Order: sequence, then structure tokens, then C-alpha cells
Amino acid sequence: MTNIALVRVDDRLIHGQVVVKWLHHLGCKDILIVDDELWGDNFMQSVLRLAAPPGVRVHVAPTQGAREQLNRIVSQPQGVLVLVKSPPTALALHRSGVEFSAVNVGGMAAGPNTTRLFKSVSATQEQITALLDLQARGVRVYFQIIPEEHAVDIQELLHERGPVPASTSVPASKETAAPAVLPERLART
Amino acid sequence: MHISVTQALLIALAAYLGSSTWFLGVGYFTVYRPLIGGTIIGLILGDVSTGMKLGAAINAIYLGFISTGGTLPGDLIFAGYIGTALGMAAKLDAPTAISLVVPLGLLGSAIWFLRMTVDSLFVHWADAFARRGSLRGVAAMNIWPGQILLLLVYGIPAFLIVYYGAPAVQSVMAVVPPKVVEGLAMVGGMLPAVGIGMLLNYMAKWRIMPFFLLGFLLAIYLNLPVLVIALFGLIAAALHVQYRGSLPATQKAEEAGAAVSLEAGEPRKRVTRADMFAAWWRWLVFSHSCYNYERLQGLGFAHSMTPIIRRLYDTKEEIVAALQRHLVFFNTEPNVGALVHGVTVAMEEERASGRRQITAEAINSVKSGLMGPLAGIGDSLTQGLITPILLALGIGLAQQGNLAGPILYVLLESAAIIGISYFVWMEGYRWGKVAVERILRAGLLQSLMEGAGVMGLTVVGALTATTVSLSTNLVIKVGPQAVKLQADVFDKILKGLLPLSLTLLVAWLLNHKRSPLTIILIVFAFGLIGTWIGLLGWG
Repeated sequence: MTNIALVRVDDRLIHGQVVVKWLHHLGCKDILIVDDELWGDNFMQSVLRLAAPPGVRVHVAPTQGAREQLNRIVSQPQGVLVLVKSPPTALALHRSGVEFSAVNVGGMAAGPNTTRLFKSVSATQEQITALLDLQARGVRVYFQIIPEEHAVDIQELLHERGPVPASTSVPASKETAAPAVLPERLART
Repeated sequence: MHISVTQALLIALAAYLGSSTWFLGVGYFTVYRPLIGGTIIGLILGDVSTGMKLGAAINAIYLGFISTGGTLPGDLIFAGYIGTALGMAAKLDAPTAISLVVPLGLLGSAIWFLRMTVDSLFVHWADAFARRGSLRGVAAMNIWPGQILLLLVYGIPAFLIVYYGAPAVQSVMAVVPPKVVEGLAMVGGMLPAVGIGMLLNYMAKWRIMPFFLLGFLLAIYLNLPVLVIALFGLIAAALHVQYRGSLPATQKAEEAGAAVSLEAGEPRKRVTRADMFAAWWRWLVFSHSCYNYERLQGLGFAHSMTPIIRRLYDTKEEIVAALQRHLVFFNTEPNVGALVHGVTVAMEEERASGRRQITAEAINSVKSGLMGPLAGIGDSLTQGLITPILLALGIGLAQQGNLAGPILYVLLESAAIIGISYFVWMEGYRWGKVAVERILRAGLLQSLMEGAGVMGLTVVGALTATTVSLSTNLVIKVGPQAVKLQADVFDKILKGLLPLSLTLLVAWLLNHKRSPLTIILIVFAFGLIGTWIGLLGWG
């Protein structure tokens, strides 16, 4: 299987931190974006291809086809940077047999029913569950926005924080009970 | 030098203004930089020339400074404003001052973290105003709480450190052994190699590295002024872009799809040119006014849309919905990313004119889809190329004692930033979504970035020759003869061999995943110990 340099969860996909920091840090020449919605959106695919720096190839695959697509990429020794928007996609990837030992969580926007976990990373209950499931499958889950920063492992973060941080919500939504369920869920780790 | 209460208060105010995006909306690209900060501090303390030179020297170590998505390696206000003030008060020479500035910059990072966290609270106040449909309220929440916080978190520490710290630094420096002071100066001479190394690691591809050497040699052997070297760099860039072969086939965007025509006879709501200008200006000045971890530039985006919403929507429900739609998470490079705003205004016009298929979801998916890719291009262009190149030029001039350094930098940088921002905003509005493809497919951007890389490396090469210093005192005894390693060997091979090697070594280490902080610590240890045992010195 093609060598994976990094699996990153980042809902902005290719942007400043990825282009300016991670690509330089990893030296990757191939990016594989796994996203079902993007798979069907030719306009956004073309924008992302145009936005990548010269010499970097952008591949897009649906979750189910990612494994085959990954095998097709003839990558440089530096490997492929795999980007997904949300943890459940990363979990589905791992379930479908794509092998990786760590997941970098780098950016997830605050929205309805999300809890802020780390700097600019917020997650819903479902997303946190997916991260914990990944961890249960033996994948190291860590938070790190850019390579210069220290990586913080998920258990370290939850251990440090103790009770779940204050909930946040966007104006469109009412405060929900979701965060109240979190402590039990997190206490298991 | 004694710093009076008035001077300390002025410095505190300057530190706040430097950290804010005010000042024509290009604050982060101009007054935030130590070159400008140092000049302003010099003005306050009554010695512009010293302040400017100190600021220029400090800025050299932050030449590779790129902040993306609210992540910041060191804080330039603490390093530039407070560092210059302390350095001037204690009458330190530039290299010694530089070595003291690095810890200040790291201390300042904590302030940034505090600010990004507390600002998250204010967004919820804006939410409350949005629920009432108050455009003024949302705008006020973007401007005031964040700015007052900024004034407090930068102003107070700046005042305290400058007023009470200056005498402390003076008395400490008075009792430190001369060998250590000499060692600190040696460290200060080496530190710019870290800043330049970071920039090289980011900017340089091996195939264009010869231009770095060109700039270095022009400066060290011909002593050409930096402006002249920059012009040589421009010539080299023009030749390079012309002769490097054609770009991958460029393709014009299908313009047919661009114009979204309306069904005939339907009344159409439009924004005026004045609305567009007002919205663009709000974004330019206040995009990062309430920058926070929760939604980053979300409130800034909503604020910038207030003139548009006021024009397009009449009922309270529509206004509330529009405000809430734009108060969500948003983050991009604010200048190239201004294209998103142009596109958004075009879509809002369509929606207000009754095209139901332009849903709130459609608008937000275009926003969130485009903001990332444009940030990638924007950060590479503005923070990665334009800013360091012009800074290198400004620093070079300032070091020669020329006040044109900071002035020229502010003028050129502002023109570039404001020009890009205004152009893409209006293009985005004119062409809608297709604008992205139009601009990117033109291929002009790629040529521009390639050329800027060449010119930048030439200037940075020259800056390496004039800012990085390292020399050895080692004498080797060959029989009866004493061979001075520096004068008799290194200088005969290539003048500036040690600074050049050091800079390339730092770039190589960064490329091999050593953190800048580790390298800085090594530089401190090597400089202090090396000077102490007599390995390093100026002979």
C-alpha cells in the first residue's frame, strides 16, 4: 500500500496551515482528500487542485473508494498526505482497511452542538465518539494545529481538562443537552 | 536612558496600536513588524535612528515569521516594541539586545493565547444582538470589546515592563561579567540566521538557491546597497520567469456560466458601489478585531456584511437570518480571501432578488469551501513572499541608517495588501464563483510567485551578508608560525563563510524537523560557551 505520511482531520482541507506549514514539514507531493460530498462536486475539486502549490497533486476519493485510490497513487518516498473533514470519515477509512497508526486533528469549526476541545478544534458528540473509537482501534489520536507546536494526545487532553469544557453553540441553534452526556463517555478513557 | 511615565504610557499605547489591525487595515503587515515598531519607539524616546536600527536588527530574526490560522511563533509586539524600548533604555548594542528579545517574544505568545480565548466570549454577545436583528450591535461587538481587551493585555504589560524593567535590565547588565556580555553579542549576531533559515526553509527550492548566493556575493564583495541588489534580483526574476519554459497549459474559465441571469421582468435588488466599498473597508480594518478560537474571523465577516444586509433586506426576520448566517466559523487569509466576500455579496443579491435556489446552505457551503484553498494561496503570497521580501529590503535600508527603510516598507506593503484585497473583492462580486477559476487559471499568479521567490532570495542573500555575523578567534600553531583561522584561512576562501554556513545549516536543520526553539537554544549555548572558552570572537 502507498505510504501515508499523515492523516489529518481538518474541515478546511487545503488551506494556509496545510500549504505553508505541513506540506513543507512533510515534503509531500501528493494530497488525497477523502470526502463523499467533494467527490460529487466538480467545481470545488477544481478549486482545490488550483489552490495546491505548484508540483503538488491533489487526488479526491469517496470514503469507500479511498483504499483503491491510495493504491493507485504512485507517491514519492515522502508519502501521501490524507485529509478528511471529520473524524467519522477517518474511522470509516480505518475500518475499510486503510492502514495508519495515528490521526492528527488539526481543525474543526465550532457549530451547533459542538464542544471546544483544543484551540480551534471543536467537535460534536458523534465526532468525539469516532475519535475515541479510533483510539480504541489502536490509532494514536493527537491534536496539533501546526508542526511547530507540541502535539497533545487525546487522553492527555481529556485527563488535563477533567470535566468537559463549556459548550458553545451558534446562534441558529438552541443550547442542547448534548454536552451533558459527554463526561460519562469521556470518563471511560 | 531614563524612561519617563509619559514615554512609558506612549509606548503602551503604541504597543496596543501595533497589535491591532487598525491603521488603514494593514496593521498586521506594517506597524506590527519590529522594523516599524522600533522606529516608533525611537520616535517616542527621542532617537529615531537608534530605534529604527534596533527594530531592524530585531526584525531580522523574525523574517521567517508566518502566522496561520491563529497560530503564532513568538509575539512581535513584545519582541519589537518592548524589546526596542528596553534595549534603548539600557543602551545595549543591537546584537546584545537581540539576544534578550527572544525570551520576550515567547512570553508574548501567552498574551496571544489569552486574547484568542477571551474573544470567544464576545462572539456570544454578538449572537445576542443578531437575534434582535441589530446590525449596529453586531458591528459594535466586533469593534469594542476585543479592542478594549487588546489595549489591556498589551498596554498594561508593556507599561510595566518598560517602566520598571528598564532600570532592572541596566543594573543587571552592569554586574554581568564582560565575557558573558560579549557572548550575548555573539549570540545576537548568530540569531538572524534562525530567522533567515526559517524563511529559506519555507521559500527556497534547491533549483532557485543560486539566487540566494548571488545576493550574498553582491553584498559581501561589492558592498552594493540593498536597493540596488533588489533591482538585480528583479532583473534575475524577469529573466528566470521568461526563460524557464511555458507553464502548464492555461485555460480560460468558461465565462458563459458566469453570469447568473434572472428571469425576465423580475425586479432585482442590487448593492451600490458605496455599499461595496463600505463592506470592503470594514473587512480590511476589522477582520481580526475580535479574532478568537471559537469562530476565528466569523464575527469580522458578519460585521463586514452589515452594509450589504442593510441594503438588501427589509424585514427583521430577513436581517436576523442574514446576520446569523454570517456569524458562523470563518477563517481565511484576509486579503486574497476577500474574494469569498465578493462572491458572497453576489449570492446575497441573488437571494434577496428572490432566487430561492440560493439557500442559506448554498451561501455557507461556498464560503466554507473557498476560504481554505484561498487561505493557502494567500498565506503563501502575502506572508510567505511579499512581506519578507519587502521587509528584507526595508531592514537593509534601515541598517544603513536610512529612514526610507521603514517608510518605503510601509508604503509598498500597504499598496500591495490593499491592492490585492480590493481587486479580488470586486472580482469576486463581478464573476461570482467563477472568479476563483478565472484568477487561478490565468497562470499569472504562478509566474508572479516564482518571480517573487527569485527576487526574494536575492534580497535575503544580501541580508544574510549584512545581518548574520560569526567569527572565530582560533589560532593554529604550525611550527613557528601562528595561523589565524579566521583571517588567514576562512576569509581567504570566502568572505562571510561562517555566517553563510550557519544560515544554511539552520535551514537544513529546520528542514530535518528540528524545532526553531531547539535551534535557538543551541545558538545561545554555543555562542555563550564558545565565547567564554575563546573559540569565538572578533579577533
